[in-house]
Amino acid sequence: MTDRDADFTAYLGARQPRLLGIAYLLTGDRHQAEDLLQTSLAKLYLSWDNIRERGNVDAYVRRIMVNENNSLWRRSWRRREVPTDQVPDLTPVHDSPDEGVGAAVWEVVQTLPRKARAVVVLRYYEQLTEAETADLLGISVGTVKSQSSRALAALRERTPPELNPNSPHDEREEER
Amino acid sequence: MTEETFVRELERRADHVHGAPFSLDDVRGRARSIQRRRRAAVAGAVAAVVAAAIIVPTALVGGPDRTSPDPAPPSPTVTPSPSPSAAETPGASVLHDGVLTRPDGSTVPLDVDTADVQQLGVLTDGRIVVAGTRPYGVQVYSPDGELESEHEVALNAITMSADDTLATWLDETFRVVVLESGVAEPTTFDGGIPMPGESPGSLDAVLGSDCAAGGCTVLGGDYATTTTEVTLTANRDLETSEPLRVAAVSPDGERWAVTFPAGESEQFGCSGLYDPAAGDVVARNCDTTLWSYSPDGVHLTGARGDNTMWGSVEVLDEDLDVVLSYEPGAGQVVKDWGWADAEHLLVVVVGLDGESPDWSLLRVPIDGGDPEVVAGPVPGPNAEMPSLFIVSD
Repeated sequence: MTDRDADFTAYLGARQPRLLGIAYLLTGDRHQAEDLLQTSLAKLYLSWDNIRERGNVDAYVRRIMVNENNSLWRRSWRRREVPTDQVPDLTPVHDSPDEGVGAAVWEVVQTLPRKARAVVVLRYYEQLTEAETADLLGISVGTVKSQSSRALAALRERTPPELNPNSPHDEREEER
Repeated sequence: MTEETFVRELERRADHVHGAPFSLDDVRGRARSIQRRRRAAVAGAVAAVVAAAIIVPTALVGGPDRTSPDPAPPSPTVTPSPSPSAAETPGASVLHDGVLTRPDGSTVPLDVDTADVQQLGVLTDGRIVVAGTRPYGVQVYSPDGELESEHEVALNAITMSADDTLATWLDETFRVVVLESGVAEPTTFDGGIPMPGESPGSLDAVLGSDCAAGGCTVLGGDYATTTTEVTLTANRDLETSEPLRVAAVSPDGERWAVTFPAGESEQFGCSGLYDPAAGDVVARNCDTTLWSYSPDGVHLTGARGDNTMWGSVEVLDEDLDVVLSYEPGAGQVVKDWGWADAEHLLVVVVGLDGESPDWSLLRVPIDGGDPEVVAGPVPGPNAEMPSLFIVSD
C-alpha cells in the first residue's frame, strides 16, 4: 500500500462513522446516505493529494457531501430513482420508536427544504459556526440565521406541549 | 426548545447508523467509475457540439427526423409475446416475490429480487425492462421471463413512453438508449444528457416510433427543468413558455403533465398541464405533484411525499380538479401506485409501526368505491425500504 493510500485508509477509519451520520441526516435514508458517502469519499480520494496538502479535509468532504446530496436529491425526484450502487450489507438502522422530542426534531428536519436541512445539519450536528456554515453552503450569514431560526420555530410548533420545557403548558404546571 | 435540543436529538438520530461501510477498495472502485464518466462526458460534449452544428433538429412531439443523414438500417424484430393480448392490455403490471402479474392477470416468473429493483417497465411486445441495483444496470427479459440482455448505465433509471412502446435509459457514457417494442436491439442515440461534471441528466419523457430511423425524441434535463430535446442524431434546447419539468405525456401526446421549479423556501413547486403545440400552460395546481396519466388520458395521479413514502394519492381530471383523494388507513402510508386500468389504481400501502409492518396491494376504484385487497397483507421491511410490490411505470 502506498503512503497515499495508507493516509486515506487512516482517514476512513477515523472519520467514516461521523461522515455516515452527516450523510444520513442530510438524506434521511440509509441507502441514499451510503450512496452519498461512497461518492463523496471517491471524489475526496481523487483529490486527496491536493486536499491533504492544504489541510482541513473535513471541510472539503462536507462541501462535497452537501453538493452531491443536492444532485442526488434531484435524481431521486422520481419515485424509485434511488441511485444506489453496490450497497453492502451493513448493521441495520434501528429506527426505534420515539414519540417525544426526538420524533419532533426528525419530523422538522425531514420536512425542511433541502438547503435549510443542510443548514440545520451543519449548525447543530457538525456544530459549525454561522460563518463556517455560510461559507460552506455559499450563502449569506443572514440566510443561515434565518433558516436556523425558522427550523427552531417549526420545532417549537410541532413539539407536544408537555415535552417542551419552555411551553406555556409547563409554565402553567409550575404556577400550580 | 433550544439549539441544544437540536444538537442532542440529531446526535441521537445519527447514532442509528453505525460503522464504516466502505473500504479503500470500495472507494477506489467508485473513484474509477467517476473518472470514466468524466472522460466520457468530455467526449460526449464534444460529439454533441459537432452534431448540433450540422443537424437541424426535429419537432417536439416526435415524428421522423427528416434531416437525419443515413438512417440506420432496420433492426430485426423480436418474437412476439406468447400472449400479445395480455401484454397489450393497458395498465400496470406488478412484481412481487419473483412473479410478474400482468394487467390481464397472467403471470410470469422473473428471477430478480424485488429489493434490487428500482423501476420496472413492460413493453407492449411483452418484454420486461428492469432498472436494478444488483446488478447495477438495466436488464431486459423476454415475455416468458428469460434474461435477454444486460446494459451498463450511468444511472439505474428508465423512462417509459405513455403507450409503453418505448423504454429509455442512459448508457455509461450518458448517451440515450431507446428500446422499442417489436425491435430486437435498442437504438443508441448520438447524443446524451450529461450534466456538468460526471452526473447524468434526467430522462423526462420519450416519444415517437421507429427510433432506428430517427422517429423518436427524448426530453431530458437537470431534474428540476426539462431543457433538452434529443433525437437520433442531434440535441437541441427545448423552449417552453416558462421553466418546467415534464412528468408525463398524455397517451395522445397533446398534453404534458409538468412540474414547475420550487421556490427557494419551498419543498415542492406547483404542477400543471402544458400544451406543447401552443406553448401554453392550460391548467395549474399547487396542492399536489403530478405523476402519471391514466391509460385513456382522462385522469392523472398526483401525490407528495418524502423518502419514497406518500400520505395520499390524488386522482385529478383534465382541469386538475381532484376527483379522488385516496388515503390509506390509520398508521399506513402509500409506497407506490400505478393505473390498473382507466378506472382503477393499484396502490401499495405499508404500515409505519413495528419492525415488520404489513404490506398490501390494493385495487382502488377512482369513483370512490371501496378498495379491494389484491395481495397481502404480508410482513416486510419498514416503509423506507424498497417496496415489496413493484408497480410498473
